[in-house]
Amino acid sequence: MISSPLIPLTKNKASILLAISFVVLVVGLYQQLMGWVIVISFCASVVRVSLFLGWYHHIPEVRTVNLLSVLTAIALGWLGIEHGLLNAMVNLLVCACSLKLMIMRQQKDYLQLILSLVFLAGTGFIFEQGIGFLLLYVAVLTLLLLSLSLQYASNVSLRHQAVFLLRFCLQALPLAVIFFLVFPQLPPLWIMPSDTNASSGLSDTLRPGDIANLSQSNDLAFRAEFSDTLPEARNRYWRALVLEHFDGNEWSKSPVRRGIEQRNQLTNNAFNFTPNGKSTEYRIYAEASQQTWLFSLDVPEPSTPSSAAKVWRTHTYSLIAKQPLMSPIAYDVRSFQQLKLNQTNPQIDIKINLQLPQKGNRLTREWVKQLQKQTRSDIEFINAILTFFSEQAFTYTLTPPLMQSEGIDTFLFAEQRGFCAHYASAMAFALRLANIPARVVAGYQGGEQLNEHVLSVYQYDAHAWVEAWLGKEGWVRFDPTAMVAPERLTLGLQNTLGDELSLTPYQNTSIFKALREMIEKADYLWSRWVLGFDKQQQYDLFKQLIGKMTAERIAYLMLGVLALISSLLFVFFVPTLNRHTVDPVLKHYSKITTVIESETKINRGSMDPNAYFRKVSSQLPDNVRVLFQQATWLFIENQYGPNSTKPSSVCVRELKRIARQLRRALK
Amino acid sequence: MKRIIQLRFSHWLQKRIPANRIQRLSHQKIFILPSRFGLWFLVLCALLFVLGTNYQNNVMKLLCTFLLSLFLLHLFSSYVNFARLKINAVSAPSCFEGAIGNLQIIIGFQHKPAEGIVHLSWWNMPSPKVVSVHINDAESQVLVPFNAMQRGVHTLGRLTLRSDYPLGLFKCWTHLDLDVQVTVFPKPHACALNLVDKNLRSYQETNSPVTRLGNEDLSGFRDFDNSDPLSKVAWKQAAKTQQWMVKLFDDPSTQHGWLTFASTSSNQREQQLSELCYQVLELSKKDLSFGLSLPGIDISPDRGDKHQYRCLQALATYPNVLG
Repeated sequence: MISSPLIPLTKNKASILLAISFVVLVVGLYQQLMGWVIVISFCASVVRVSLFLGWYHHIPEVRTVNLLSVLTAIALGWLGIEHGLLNAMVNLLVCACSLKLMIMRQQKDYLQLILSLVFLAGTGFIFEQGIGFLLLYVAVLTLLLLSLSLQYASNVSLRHQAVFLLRFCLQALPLAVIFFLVFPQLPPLWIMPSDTNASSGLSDTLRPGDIANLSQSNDLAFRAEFSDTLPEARNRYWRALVLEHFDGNEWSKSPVRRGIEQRNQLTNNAFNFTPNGKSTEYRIYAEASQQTWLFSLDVPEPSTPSSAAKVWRTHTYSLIAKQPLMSPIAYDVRSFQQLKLNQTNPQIDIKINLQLPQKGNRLTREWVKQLQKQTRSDIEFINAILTFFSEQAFTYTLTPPLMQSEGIDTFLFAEQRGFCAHYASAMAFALRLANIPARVVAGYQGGEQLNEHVLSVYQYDAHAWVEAWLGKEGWVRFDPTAMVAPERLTLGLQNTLGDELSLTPYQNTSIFKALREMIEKADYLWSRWVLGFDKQQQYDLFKQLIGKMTAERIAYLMLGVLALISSLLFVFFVPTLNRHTVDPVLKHYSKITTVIESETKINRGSMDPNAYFRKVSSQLPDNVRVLFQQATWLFIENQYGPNSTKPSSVCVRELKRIARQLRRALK
Repeated sequence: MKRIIQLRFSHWLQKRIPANRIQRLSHQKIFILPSRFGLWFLVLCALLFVLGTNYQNNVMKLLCTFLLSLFLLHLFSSYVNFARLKINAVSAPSCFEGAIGNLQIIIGFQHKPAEGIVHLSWWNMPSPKVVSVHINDAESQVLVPFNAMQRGVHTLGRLTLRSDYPLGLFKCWTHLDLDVQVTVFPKPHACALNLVDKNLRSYQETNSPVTRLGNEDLSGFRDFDNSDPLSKVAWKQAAKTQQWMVKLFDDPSTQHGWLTFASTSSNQREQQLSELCYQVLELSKKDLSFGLSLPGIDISPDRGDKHQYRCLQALATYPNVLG
């Protein structure tokens, strides 16, 4: 076993590039990393930088680093657990890379680090797939490859390597795309640990009293591409979750409903309805949420078989994914917006949605009793509540006071300030008190128009509203927030709150707005064509190419792909293989002979250099003859001499000098 | 078993890459396989694919296919680069037994200049020394050291050239027989200089030397001639008399001094050759004339580099079974 060669410590461009790309990677992953892990990785990079600049000449001792690694392992074991398995793994990997970077001495270590960092860049894509992060990781990958190529060809300049690498990568891109298109699109092989602290505007419980400052994220939630025109702004209620259990403070999924769903999934008894009326067709590109809920307008059904394979239809008119959304997915939906939500078993729905906590919120209970006396029907009662919201001095705010005990009483009669969850929660509770089955629906409302067919919905569009069961009508949607802040529905959250919502400080300047729109559009195309590429699209693509999907034709297709790849390789490499570069000495000698030819009007043709010199020498002035003789000798010596006494570069230099002097002499 | 396989392989190599002074690399001569790093790189690609599938993450899959296409391109790129090399052995080297010799080769190009680093080592040698050469635009001259073997004339083994250019995912290599003969002289063994009369060369009459040579055996002076080496000028005399004189020693050439086995103190053949080798070198250094007479060899007395080389070669090739 030959020991791995050592890499130089100072002035080694390869290792400094490695350190830089490591720092960039760590910065890109900062949300997943613990603070002290980031500190360690920065320390490791500082070690490399000071070695590079020659401030230090020794790497840290192995014993020191071993001690550090033991401490790191303990700290990771202690602190990492609560961050979830996936994040703990990423932290572990970053720590290992930092320690290795500190003691990197052999080429073996260097290569291990390169592979680990490429892998780390790959795992970065679990968390972010947007176009911005893509560019970041492309930069990291470029740096790593540049470092690698410097390691294997350190005599060539950085620029030369960069140009070479750029060509190399550009050649690799079309191949990568072809591979990507024909690679099998498999379902997940096993369930992976997920990122637990992903930020999202939605959660599967609603506890309005505990929130003093609703965090508003301007991350994208999903995009919807409509095959026809966009639905009206007031109809853009994207259902995600239906919360049917209330314990006095918190709305959550009903355990009864959960049991039913599980049983249905086991018996493969999906919800079905009889479609009726006009339908809207659209395709949703959902961002990774690590959750199973999906988004749809009422009443949805998956419109393609491949979507139907990914999506489960629940008895609460919502869609859920069969796998948690680890990465962006696309699914096709058809919604019947005029259909009444009365397709489910009313007994179960009513039973679940009359559930109430035993005690608490006494004021509300009394108020409902009074209101019931004043109204004669359910619908009148509902209208009375909505009027209450609009007539009292309620305000819409994202920074409500805490209302932890008797939350609904405090909200309705004391504070009267809150956001959608407060209103929805209070109203659903009141309706249930009045014996009207009611529930809270969480999802998104609105969306920003990207172009005439596409809506982008952001996390800050998260919303909650109320559904009440009105006999034959089925479930009817009521939005109490709309009574308080009607512009929330029509204009969106940003316009409702004005200053209170500070998403991006530059949002209003026109240049930044235009820029943002451009990025949005690029991002949309990216998620449409790359992130949303799935088995169905692959199938469609193949079908377009070969028509019927028979085994024979697929075999031909694969042969065609192979032929395409080989022809690409042919184009890339055959010209470079056969290209004979003209010998530089010959080139410069020929330049000189053309000068002589034009002077003497004697063509050299295929005459050998000596003979040609003898032929023209009589016609040349002395100084020119001497110069041409020098050139001839140089050329002969270089071409026919014994194993070239002078290197070609010296010959070229001298020939150049002679050519210059010749031209001057002949002027 | 291992030796049989190796023998078979070297026979096969002989047919596939025949010996030649100038070797232009081509598909026939180049071997190319993923390096250890390349294999780990493939493992990484597989890992990314599994991860990409499990997280249903197309970007990760795209990264995986991009790395795979880099790998594929690397195969061609490193081959094309390596196939541009032209290797030329310059000199037939010679050296002494037990010393380290150097083979001078020139690495040139066939079409375009190649790039990267070429590692040279001897094939099939235990713990071979690796010489690494940075390839530039111009031709590079390289000295490849080899351990001299036994006395005699040997063909140098195959020279292995390896390159990992550009990213180290593949290694290209070849085993070239540059058709170089190396003459290994006996190892010089210090002893007294001892020229004998040619007639006394038979064994039994040894140990009666005619002349002992040494600097003190000064026999007289003569006038300086332009062809005389400066080392022989009697400077003391010159300082006194302003006249350049040349010191005359007991000149062995005039006495027809010979080196035979009788000149040595040992009676072991290799040891004798070693001593003779030392004496040839010393005598040449002193620019003395001497002849070499061994059974089957008769080199008449002379001096100079050419003569020295002839004598050394005779010693190198002296059969070790005879006598």
